[in-house]
Amino acid sequence: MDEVFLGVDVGSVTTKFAAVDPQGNLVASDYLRTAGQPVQAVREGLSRMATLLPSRVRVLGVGTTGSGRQLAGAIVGADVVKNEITAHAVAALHFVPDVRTVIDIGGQDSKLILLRDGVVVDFAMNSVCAAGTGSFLEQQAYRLGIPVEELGRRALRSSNPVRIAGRCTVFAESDMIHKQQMGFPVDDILYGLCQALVRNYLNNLALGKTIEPPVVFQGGVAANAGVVRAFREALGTEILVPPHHEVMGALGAALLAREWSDGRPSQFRGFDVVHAEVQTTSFECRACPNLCEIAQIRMDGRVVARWGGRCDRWEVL
Amino acid sequence: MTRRVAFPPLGFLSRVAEAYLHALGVETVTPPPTSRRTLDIGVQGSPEMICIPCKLLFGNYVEAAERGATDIVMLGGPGTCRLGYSVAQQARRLQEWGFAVRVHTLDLYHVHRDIFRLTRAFADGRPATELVEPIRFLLALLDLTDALETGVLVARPRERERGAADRAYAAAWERIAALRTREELEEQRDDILGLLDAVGLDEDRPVLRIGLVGDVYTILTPFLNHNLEVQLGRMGVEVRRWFRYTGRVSLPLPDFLRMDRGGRARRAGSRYLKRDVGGFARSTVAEAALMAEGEVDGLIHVAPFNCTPETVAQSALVALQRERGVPVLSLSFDEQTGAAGVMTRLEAFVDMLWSARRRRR
Repeated sequence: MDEVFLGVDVGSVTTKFAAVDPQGNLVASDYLRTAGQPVQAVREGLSRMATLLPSRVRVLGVGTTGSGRQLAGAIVGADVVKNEITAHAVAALHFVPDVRTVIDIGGQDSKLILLRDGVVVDFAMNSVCAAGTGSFLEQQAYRLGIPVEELGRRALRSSNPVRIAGRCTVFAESDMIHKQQMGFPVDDILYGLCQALVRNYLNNLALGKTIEPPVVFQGGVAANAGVVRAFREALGTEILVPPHHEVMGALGAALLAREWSDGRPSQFRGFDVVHAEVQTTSFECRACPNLCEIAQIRMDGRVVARWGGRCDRWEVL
Repeated sequence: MTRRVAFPPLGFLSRVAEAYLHALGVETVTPPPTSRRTLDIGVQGSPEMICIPCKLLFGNYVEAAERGATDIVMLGGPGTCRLGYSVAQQARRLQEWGFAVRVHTLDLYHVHRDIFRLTRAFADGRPATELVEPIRFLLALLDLTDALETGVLVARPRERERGAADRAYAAAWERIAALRTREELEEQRDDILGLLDAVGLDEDRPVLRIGLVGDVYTILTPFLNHNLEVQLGRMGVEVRRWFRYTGRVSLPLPDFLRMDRGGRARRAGSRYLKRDVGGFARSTVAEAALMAEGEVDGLIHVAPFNCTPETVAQSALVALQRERGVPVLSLSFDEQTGAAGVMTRLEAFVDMLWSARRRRR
């Protein structure tokens, strides 16, 4: 019988799934839009994974990560709930064992992870800014009427990029409009946009940190050849994009579940969980003046998780 | 009218202040803990670009006045940072809002002088000789609470039963709040600390040590820092706060002659920050540099978002990290800071420190 470890990465924009065999090889993966409905995304993705995997597959362990890791963990019955930094580092090390720098750019956040001898030694996440993330590229592509998938290819054709103001999506957008009105070619503007994103990333996340090769670039934005080129030119080094760069977080979560397993029984609720009725409600706790908003997750009427408080009053079920 | 004095909520420091005022025979008003309501008031009464401690403190002052305080002790003082100017502005705003309160500044750069000055003011003409005993009580109180604060930070990551350390800590504070004299304190000291010693600890559990440096208000306000110390404790981290009272008083010697911890920290930190830049920046960097000499696995630096002194400290800590190889996580907080982002960073940092320790073995 086939045996796998599952990884689920619930991000702000997309939800990713990965399954690895007991040797750690990726056997299936998928991703879909979170579309603001993480519960729905997890259920749909899980049923899609069930069709991608052999019908009699045994799930030996499940890991979740991403900003929706707790929610996903409660729904699927996760054995490991891990932060995105650790999950991405584990996945990058799996492909490039001597990796020293991981650049991860997703839909709404970006990360920089520095490793030495296979161990994370420093990291940074963007906290206050969307100017270095995928949503921004997508929004600008949409505004120009170009599919975001094509943006990278168009940017590669540029030989004379236009400098676009960085720092902030608002500045960048008005500067792009200005450059368009001046009559600069779209391809040059697009590559200028990629360069602005890279500049922003390096100025915010890499400030005071030393980026050394090998550099692995993962996350949804790594699909954009224009951004890869801009990183290569800015850093003066080769940029490695792993084959399944968009599901690296999920892959890392699956690998962490595999590491955790060691023969232990999994908490996985089974693929049938997609048919369970999941209800999320919230209420305001009035025990103190903080008035925390507590989120409550019910599956088939039973409360499976609560969180959101500043204390653990509600976390114990 | 009887004087009713309020001290803003500031962790154990406000409880010490209250016990001391009671020992002086002064009536006090306890403002509610800093909450979302405090923030709403603070935001309404402050300029948008001012830092979050300024906003929250103003909310604290209003909530104290609402509860009937006639006198409010305000934290600030010239030279510290924007807080120095904010105090004057906040005092005016309180009057504008119709609160007839007297305000007293506790200058953070002249704490000892101002404790004495405020003691005189609240003692209503009692001779100085009668104030010696309360002041000695205060010193003993600070010494006791230092031990308690350190104790709970050590116990949290090792407790066998979740929450046991915090329950013992709360019980200890109830006892401390009832103390009025130094004799009572000395009599009960061992019993009070014994409450914490009675917590069942797993001494063999591996625990990380993280030095917590940065702005004191942020460190002492769980509402603002998303309950940082408790969260870290649950993740198996023994937190070492950079500030303690004990050992802070030293002879007025030049740094190179000082043998106490403060002096050693100054010397260790002078390589990264030579002069005072306001706030707690210099002490933060100095203590961080000393802790980096093998006392901790890593450092967490907390600051209010856009705090000028702590931004300078943060840059100095980048140099410290590069030179000494000590991992540093910088977190800045304001009303926009989401809990999820903080937890992700803390978890990742803790994971990272564990793998670093495993590698050293």
